[in-house]
Amino acid sequence: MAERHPLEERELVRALVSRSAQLLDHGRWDEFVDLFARDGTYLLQARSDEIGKDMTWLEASRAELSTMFKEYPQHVRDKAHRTHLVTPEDIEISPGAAKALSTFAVFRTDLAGQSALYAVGHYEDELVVEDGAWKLRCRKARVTTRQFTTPTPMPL
Amino acid sequence: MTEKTAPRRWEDPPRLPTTHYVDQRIYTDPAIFAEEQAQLFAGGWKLVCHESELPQTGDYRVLDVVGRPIVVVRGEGGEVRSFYNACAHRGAELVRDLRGNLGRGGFRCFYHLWGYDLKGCNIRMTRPEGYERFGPKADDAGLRRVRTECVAGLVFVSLREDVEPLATYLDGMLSRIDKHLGSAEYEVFHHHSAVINANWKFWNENNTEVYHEFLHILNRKTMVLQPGYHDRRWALYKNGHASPEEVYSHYEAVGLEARADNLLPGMRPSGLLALGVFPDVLIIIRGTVLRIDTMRPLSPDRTLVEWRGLALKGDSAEVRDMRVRQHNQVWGPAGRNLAEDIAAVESQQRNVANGASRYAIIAREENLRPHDDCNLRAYYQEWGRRVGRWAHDVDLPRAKAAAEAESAPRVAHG
Repeated sequence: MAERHPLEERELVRALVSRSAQLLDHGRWDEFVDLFARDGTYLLQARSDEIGKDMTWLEASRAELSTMFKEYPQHVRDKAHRTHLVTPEDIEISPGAAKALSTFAVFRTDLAGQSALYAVGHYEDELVVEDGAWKLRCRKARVTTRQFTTPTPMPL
Repeated sequence: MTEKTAPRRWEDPPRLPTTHYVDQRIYTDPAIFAEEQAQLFAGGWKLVCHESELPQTGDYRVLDVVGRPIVVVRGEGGEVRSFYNACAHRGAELVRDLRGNLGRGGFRCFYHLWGYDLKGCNIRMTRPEGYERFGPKADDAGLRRVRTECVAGLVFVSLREDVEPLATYLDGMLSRIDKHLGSAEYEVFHHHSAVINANWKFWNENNTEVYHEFLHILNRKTMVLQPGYHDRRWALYKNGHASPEEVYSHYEAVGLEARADNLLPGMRPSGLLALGVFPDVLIIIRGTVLRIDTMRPLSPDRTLVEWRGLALKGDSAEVRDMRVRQHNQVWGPAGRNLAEDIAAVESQQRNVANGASRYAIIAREENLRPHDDCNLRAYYQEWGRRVGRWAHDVDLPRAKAAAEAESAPRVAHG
């Protein structure tokens, strides 16, 4: 890979984080999976104030994510639309690797067009360069929201 | 061709025995909701937490029972007690977090610094000389205690002091709970909740009627369409508790691992067992991991559902990871089935609220086999007895319905 200026690397990472949200919003599942490295992992985690423990609610490899998306149309599912707002706030670049911390909010818009806040949290992303492009080695979606209306099995 | 019978008038009850349908106003009527709150949730036993949420002396949890704030705390000798979370002085909340540890000093109200030990006795009245003239005395200024009993690690409370003993209430379900939860030490590793836009009984029915497994692609592939699925029967217990016999879940049918190792007590490989405790508790075991559902009815059309995941205390890190993974394959906020169940009950609620659906049919008879609605009929018989209403006819005068429900023959128990 040709050497790029650190600012350019930062911009590529920022763009990947933003793109991940857009792909989820538009149901472009295959492209979302393609953002992950071959050994990439998606985690959905939360901290329970009720039991005082960190919890993992979903852990999926790239292959498991792909299977989940393929199965999704077979499920009875919430027909509402979800929209992400994501703000990458802190990006650290090192040779061949990067970390990005972002804040996200997800809004749910029902069939009548009424929108409400669904969840807030942070993405803690670890990235690697694979085949000349930045890929997610680990996306940890840590939700602050613990009580959901109309839960979805889909990644946030 | 002439019709032999007149077409059904949709505003009339179904042509079924009265035990085999439900007037769906039981899911929408505010007066019935208030009666349920008083008779079932304030006047009966309510599962509030698991003992592992209070591992140390002084550990507490704050919970809500019928809108009342209750603090459950572990005392010096290990006993679990509950109190209203309200200072005996001027009513401020004694503790303001969901959980924590009080230390050996017990409760200390943040407002005027009154104090109470872990038994709820008053141990401090700030500047007590002001109470010398009229009182109160310390022994008359303790915390308001709430009846509390534990069985197999499950903590139940009742706001009614003279409620029947918990073991009597659980009846035949007690030994079932003890077999699976009482023979090993469990701990809660998962907790989440959701507010669903549906009456709490819709959620209970969804949790306990097996026929609805057709809703889930996962259950269709792993169980309903598999041989042997129907070769089991319901066990119905006194007081509305019920459990279908264990079934084998073919996880391999959807590409998941079979559950053969590190099974929980009393479970067969890849076995699935559900224990329904009247009126709002479901304990469900999928071989290696256990789930407990409880409910907090908020209004006739809104319910807070709480889910706990439990594993064995002392699990190695590797085994615990396996249990968490297997828990999340089906359960949890990102589980495969939850969104489907919620879609179903919220859909029902919309149609009973808008009047599109007046009566629900619970008429399946299959000789106690899993798709028999026998458990729902037994449930509504008990519901009627305790609430003082007939589920099939909510217009009957309450006193008459209560008397009839009390004298009605009880469902046979398995």
